[in-house]
Amino acid sequence: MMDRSTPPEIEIEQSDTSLIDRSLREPEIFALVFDRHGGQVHRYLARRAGPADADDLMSETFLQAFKQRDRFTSSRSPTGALPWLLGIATNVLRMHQRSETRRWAAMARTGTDPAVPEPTDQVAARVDAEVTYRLMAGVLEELADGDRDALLLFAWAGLTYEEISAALGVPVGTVRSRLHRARLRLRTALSATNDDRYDDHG
Amino acid sequence: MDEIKLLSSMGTDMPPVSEQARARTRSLLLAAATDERASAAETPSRSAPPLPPARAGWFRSQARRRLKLGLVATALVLSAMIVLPLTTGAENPAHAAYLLTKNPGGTITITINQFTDAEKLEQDLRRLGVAAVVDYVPEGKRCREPRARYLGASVNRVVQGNVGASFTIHPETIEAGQTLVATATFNDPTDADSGSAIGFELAEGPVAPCVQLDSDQAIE
Repeated sequence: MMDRSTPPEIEIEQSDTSLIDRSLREPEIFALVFDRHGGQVHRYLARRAGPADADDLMSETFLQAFKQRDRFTSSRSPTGALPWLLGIATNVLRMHQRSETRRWAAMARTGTDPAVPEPTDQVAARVDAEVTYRLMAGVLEELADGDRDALLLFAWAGLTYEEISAALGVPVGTVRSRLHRARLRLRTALSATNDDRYDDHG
Repeated sequence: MDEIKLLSSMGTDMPPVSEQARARTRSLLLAAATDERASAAETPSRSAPPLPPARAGWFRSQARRRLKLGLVATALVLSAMIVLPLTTGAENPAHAAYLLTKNPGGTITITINQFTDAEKLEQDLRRLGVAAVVDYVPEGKRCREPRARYLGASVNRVVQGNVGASFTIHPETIEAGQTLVATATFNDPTDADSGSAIGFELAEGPVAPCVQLDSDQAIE
């Protein structure tokens, strides 16, 4: 097997903003933005909508991002393109919301993710987590859309309040109150299990 | 209790994005880029800021042009080469197998009309100062790779896609000892519209001839 050299460093060192700027004149460049962030966007989509739909949702997210890349401004997303992309991904998810909430409903009933086949040796370890997952899935199913978006961008995508604000196009204060509300719902649901582990929340 | 920590542990066992899915999104983006260049070329005011792709020309041109994405995904898995979907308009006259144009700035435009005479295209390109190896591979086949030491993304500086099965080459970016390797797949050799993908690579040193394999055969 012959060696393959790595792509030139120049492309790697460029900021997202300069790549997107260049892509306005050289649209092929936008593929590099995808190379950079595709993995993280896919992971976020897979965790929300399930792995079966994540591939298509990822394509849709990046095609939409490509079409509206002239609207990307670094002042709104100073830490790079990821929050902006995850905001678009969140909108794309919204259009497929039924599949996401159906998934949470199924998980809330069974405690396992219907979309992910489980290796048998992990089943025992998962049983403890099962009750917790059922409860959390139940909360995710019932949360208001905006609250769920803020919560999962925070917990799963690791965005800061400011980044969530940029991603969703809402003020930071709104992000703060949405997160507060969502976390309170989660905490309440989880503390209920300690009182009654066999309470059926499905 | 840290509910965020608990929530974070949920769904961590998701499989990572597959190479096929990556390749597919990448080829869709390149197709959109090709299409955008086409609409930009149709717009009279070229000095105007880049056209917001969601507007006018976008859908119009997409309806007229047929996007062929077939094998792009599998071809892309092999390396970081540029793969451009071949999108030829019906208005494209199919006289010669290909057209080569030397542009004022020193760039060369190739337009492929038929998937024949790869060898002659190679010779003509060499005459114009471009060291190239061109192979046309029927759908369902691929070349056994790697047949050269490829230089990855630097091929981005050498080739650009235009409208349809047309490409602009920047010969000055090909250094001595380097070869541009172009491999296209097609259904019907006499119909450029039947092309599904063309891949470009930049290679350093010798390039072995294309040994055709079935495209579903395992990658070595």
